[in-house]
Amino acid sequence: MDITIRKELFKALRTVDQDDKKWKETVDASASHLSSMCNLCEQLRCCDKVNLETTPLRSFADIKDRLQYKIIYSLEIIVEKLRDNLKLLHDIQKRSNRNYRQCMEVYQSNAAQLGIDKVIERSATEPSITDMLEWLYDIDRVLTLQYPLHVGMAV
Amino acid sequence: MAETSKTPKKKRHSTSSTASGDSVSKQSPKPTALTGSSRKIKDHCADWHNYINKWETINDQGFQLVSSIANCKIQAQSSEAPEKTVNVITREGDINNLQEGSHKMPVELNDYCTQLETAYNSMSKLVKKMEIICTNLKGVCDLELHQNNGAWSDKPLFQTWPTKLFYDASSELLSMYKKELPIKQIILQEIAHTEDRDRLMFYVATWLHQPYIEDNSKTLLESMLVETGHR
Repeated sequence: MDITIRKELFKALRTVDQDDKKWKETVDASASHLSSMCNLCEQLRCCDKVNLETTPLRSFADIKDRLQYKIIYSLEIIVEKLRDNLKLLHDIQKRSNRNYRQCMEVYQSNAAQLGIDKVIERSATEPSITDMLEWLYDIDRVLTLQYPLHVGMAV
Repeated sequence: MAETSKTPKKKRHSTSSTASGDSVSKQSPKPTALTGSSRKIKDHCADWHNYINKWETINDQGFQLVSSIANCKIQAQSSEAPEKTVNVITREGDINNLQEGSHKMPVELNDYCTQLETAYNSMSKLVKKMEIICTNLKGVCDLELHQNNGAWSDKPLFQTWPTKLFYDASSELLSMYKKELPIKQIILQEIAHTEDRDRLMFYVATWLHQPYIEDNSKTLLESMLVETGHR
């Protein structure tokens, strides 16, 4: 029983390192997209504010509409890329949550037979079951808090 | 001596067209077999590809320059010294003393404007070359009508396109670049003399996004290249 729970925990913890790297890569990649988005939004704002009649471009009556269309088109491309990145982050967050729940289920189904001594037992080479469960819970909580923040930034 | 057939130079942008259709669709005639009108059309399609690529390269360079000019202007506004009289170098090279409260312009602004003018002149030459393509393709169409007593030939020169379609596509592309060129000229003339930040950003965005080069320009170009066997 003890081995079953530990196997499940080790399996879950092995994916944590990969997920952490992937999370950081995705967030870094999104930073450049966000910067481009800010730039395009600024262009859109300036385009909207400019009074065409006071510029030499007044003879091009539809230039503002055309420019706004082009800027919005570029924005949509970036938003699509950000959506893909958000999906990746969401997948990582869901995976972390699933790992934690699976480990908790296995633990809870065997907790009575295991006894508190086994559960809190640590060795020089392995942490205790409670330690590992706690880590998985903390990771899941951090990602659950982080993901809506990234969604908010993109929106 | 046989004239070598023109080929599109190395492409800047990836295209969505693939070569997978080659095994299904009829192949265009090989370059060595082409003569006369079909040769002319194929060469001009390669010219379109090269000119448009060159235009995009110059546009990117021009964008760096207009951005630099706009940044110079904005920085000069934010670091103004109203108690001093400043000198401004005009585009004609004269030095004018301005009243108190004027902005000090960085020396490199003149260089940027000169380089931007060079970029604009290159674009202007490209549009003239595009006009020549359209004139030549019109000639090819007129020749076909003359040879067939006022009717179009039943057999397409390449895969499916009637000859007129090459001229129509070229005319449409030319119309886009001809509309875009005067806008570049106005930006060239105005940007260094604009004080308003929003207007500066508007000019920079207009240069970058090229409002009169429509989205279907890429499709038109790729269609011509696929039809003539360049892709």
